[in-house]
Amino acid sequence: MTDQLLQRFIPEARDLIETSASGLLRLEKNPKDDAAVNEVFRAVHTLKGSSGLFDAVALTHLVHAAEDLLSSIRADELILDSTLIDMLLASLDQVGCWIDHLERDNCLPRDADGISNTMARELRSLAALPGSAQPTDAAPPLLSGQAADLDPDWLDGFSEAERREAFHRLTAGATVLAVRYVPDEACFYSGTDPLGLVLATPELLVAVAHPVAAFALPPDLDPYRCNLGFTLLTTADRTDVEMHMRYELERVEIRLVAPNDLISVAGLPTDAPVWEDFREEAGELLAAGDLVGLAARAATLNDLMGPDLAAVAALRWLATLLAAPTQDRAAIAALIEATVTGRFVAMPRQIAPVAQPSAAVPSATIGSAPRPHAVVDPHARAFARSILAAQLGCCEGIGFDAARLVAPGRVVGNLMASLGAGDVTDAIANALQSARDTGSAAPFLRLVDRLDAELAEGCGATAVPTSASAPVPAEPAPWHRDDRPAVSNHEEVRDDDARPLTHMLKVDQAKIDLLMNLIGELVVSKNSLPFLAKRAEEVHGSREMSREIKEQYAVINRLAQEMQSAIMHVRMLPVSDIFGRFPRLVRDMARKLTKEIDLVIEGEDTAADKIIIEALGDPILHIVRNSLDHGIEQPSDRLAAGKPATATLLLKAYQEADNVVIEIRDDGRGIDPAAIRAAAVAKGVLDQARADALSDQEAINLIYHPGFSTAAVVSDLSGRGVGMDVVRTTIEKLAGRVSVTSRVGEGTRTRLSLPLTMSVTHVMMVEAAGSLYGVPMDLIVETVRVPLEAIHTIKQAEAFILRDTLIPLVRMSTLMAQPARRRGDGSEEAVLVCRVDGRNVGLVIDDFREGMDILLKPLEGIVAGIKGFAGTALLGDGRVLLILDLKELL
Amino acid sequence: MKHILVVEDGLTMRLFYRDVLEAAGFQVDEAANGVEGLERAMLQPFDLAIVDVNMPKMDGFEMIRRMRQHPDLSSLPVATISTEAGESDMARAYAAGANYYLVKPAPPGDLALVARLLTGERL
Repeated sequence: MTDQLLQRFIPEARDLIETSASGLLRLEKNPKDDAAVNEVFRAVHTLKGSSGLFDAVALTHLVHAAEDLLSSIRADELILDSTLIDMLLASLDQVGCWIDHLERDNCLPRDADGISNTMARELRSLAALPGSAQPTDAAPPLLSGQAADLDPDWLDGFSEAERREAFHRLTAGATVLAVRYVPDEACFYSGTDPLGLVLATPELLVAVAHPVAAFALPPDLDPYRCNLGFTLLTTADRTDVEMHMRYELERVEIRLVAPNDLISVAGLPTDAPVWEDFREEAGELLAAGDLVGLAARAATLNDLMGPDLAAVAALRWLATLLAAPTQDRAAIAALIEATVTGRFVAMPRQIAPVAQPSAAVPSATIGSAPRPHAVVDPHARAFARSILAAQLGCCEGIGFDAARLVAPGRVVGNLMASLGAGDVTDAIANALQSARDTGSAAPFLRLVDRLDAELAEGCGATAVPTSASAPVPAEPAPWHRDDRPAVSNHEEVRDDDARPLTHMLKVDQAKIDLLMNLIGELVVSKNSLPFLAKRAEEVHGSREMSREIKEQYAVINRLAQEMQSAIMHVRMLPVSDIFGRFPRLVRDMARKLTKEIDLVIEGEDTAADKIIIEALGDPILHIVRNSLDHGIEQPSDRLAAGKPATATLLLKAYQEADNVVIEIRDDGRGIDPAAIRAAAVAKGVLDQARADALSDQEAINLIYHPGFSTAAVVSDLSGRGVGMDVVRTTIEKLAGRVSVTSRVGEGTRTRLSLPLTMSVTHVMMVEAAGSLYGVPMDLIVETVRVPLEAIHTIKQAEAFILRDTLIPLVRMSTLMAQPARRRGDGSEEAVLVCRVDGRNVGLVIDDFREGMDILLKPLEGIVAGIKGFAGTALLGDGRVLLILDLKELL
Repeated sequence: MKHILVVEDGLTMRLFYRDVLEAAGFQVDEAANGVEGLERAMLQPFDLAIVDVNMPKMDGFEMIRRMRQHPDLSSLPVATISTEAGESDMARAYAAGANYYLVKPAPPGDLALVARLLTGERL
């Protein structure tokens, strides 16, 4: 069960994190957006609730802290500012990492508990700051490594020998942590074993227990409440300790122990003059650096004096310090001082009261009874009683309302029936009737009280005395079934697996791909029917059969097309899948670059094929980065240029015929064609004369030239160009187009246009040089028949005029290196006008044939290297059709 | 077979309730928020509604309040379930007309037990 639940939880958690993050970004723009606050709160809340099902205490803990913070924001107790948002986003990121980890390893990373605790405390301290209502809740920063962090009274319970042992460990290079753990008073009911936990601490040096409050005397003493706190010293890693204490981390404080923290001078006071002398002598020895002499002097005195004196304790510590690998002269001096004063004062230190976790925490399950124990029956009875109490609860305090008594009445009846405690329906009906008659809930409440009292006595008999036997079922108690792991008939129960509400189906992509391939094959194989019809007529002479086949073909054709588009739609994803990550990205980058940017997103519902959507992410990212880096100016520059300080970056998607168009527009400084020309010439992309001949638009297009995109050019230019040819290559691989328009000082607009889907290609078959070829339909502008006399020869090249535009002609036969076939005078040439690289070209072919849908198979194996063909397709009659790659050919 | 309506916005939580309750021999219907829950509850009779407090569109309190105003639903046993272990939420739930208040995540055994007690299924 857990595995399957976890698999459900992971995508849900990711969605919730995403929702929260985008809500937070909206809130940053408009902190008054209540809807966004609620949305974020709810998402975090649900995340917390669901995560509680899994062994991910650290995650739940952190999410809980975030939820509390959001709750204060929701209640207007706290104003949301950038710091808070940063912190919340960081927490969400952390949770996201953990979710990834959960998915991979089924558990949280080892350091999760520590991170969670630190982050949660930070969140809570942020929440507590302005109100300062609970100063003790704002725990001190955890681990700064400063000795001052450790309150001296933490170590009070340790004996000198224990302290000395810890001191030796410390000076030998180990780290010693002091851990203070104050268990919940009610911890015995929640299955916690505080002492066991403490004693099992890794690398435990020593532990002491101390009462939290003074113990009460026997009549008042409640032995079931834990009144103990623990302090322990360990040489383990902080992470290991946190891991060990992970379920109790809220009640645990961990401090780094510095050597001086361990030194304590305690014992009987003395005012013998010998100590004054010692202080003087020792001070001189220390000043002279004679530590050996000092140690000898101290040892002598130590032998002479009684061990109970505080001064002698100081001497012992002095010996310990002097024997350590490195000496802390300040501490030694302080110890020498202590021989006289009887107090060790290493350095001025602020003694703050220890922040004790508040003792009274409501038990984990309010409204439910104490936790289950071994005996089942009392457990059920306890629940039953708590339900009865709840019925009292919901009838009291609302004034009398007869209608409101109906549900509690039914619940009480059900409850008794469930316990097998006899039929109390009549009693309830009577009570409700008299409640209505008297206009008071009292009769019903009295009944409930009575039933409760009977339950408390352990016998449920009321109306029917025969069922007075205790509600202990003869067979094993049925609710035991629920405790069985994983519910064996799980598969059958969940077989339909359809979530009844969302009406969403999560399907493995491979299944859709398979469907897609199958429909592709179907579309192609239906193409064989016209050939069959032709054969029926020509070979078998059956015109009627031929007609019937053609009719059937029309039906199959239509169905296949509908099916194809339906499956296509399954694969369609909204553009929001990629746009969604930009608000965060733009925000983070803008902050880093100290620019002010308003990101506007339009048309995020526009959908396109999964492959297209997935491939679009990187190109858009590239363009947006470029815009942010180079296009958009600093606020001061913008103001100087007479523009608003906040730049606008527009991400827009829309559908245009069979294409999805993505527009990325900024109002930055734009691209300077002159700079591009200069850079192109310097880079050797083209010579000065050709550069000068370029129009501004053509110059801007140069940024997509492969030779143009090196970092060096970019820095020379201080403009755009980072890997823009990569953008173009990616988009063109998807049969899309990129175009850029830009005006200096006004901004830049990049337009990506891609086909909605791509697996099935629409081609036109053409006859040329005696063979059949396919030309992708999206390249074809129109088909014309041109009279021979309308073809003009300009130098070696041919051209014709189509609606006042001169269109160059290219003969297929030439391209295919086949002998040209001349036509007689008065005849016409079939010309396919295609748009290649933004220009129209007329392709002279022998004849046009029908258009068809094909599954384009790339050239493979030894023919893979052949230029000029995009791939092959199988025709219905078994022939192979070569699809021309006009961009390469022309 | 007793029929339980689970109203909860968390997908994982719904699955959890369904698993636990179906294993305990109940038939389970789900709704993802208060509005859907109210709709479902009006369409057919249930023996128990388990309602999350914090939900989009309409929260659990409001849903229960409205259920109680509906003649057909005024007698339906309702258990609220929430992550808030706070007295105030419990009081609000009872004031709205809930019959019981459970704290998330309830141990599966407890959940099934409460469902049995509230629906009158023999233990």
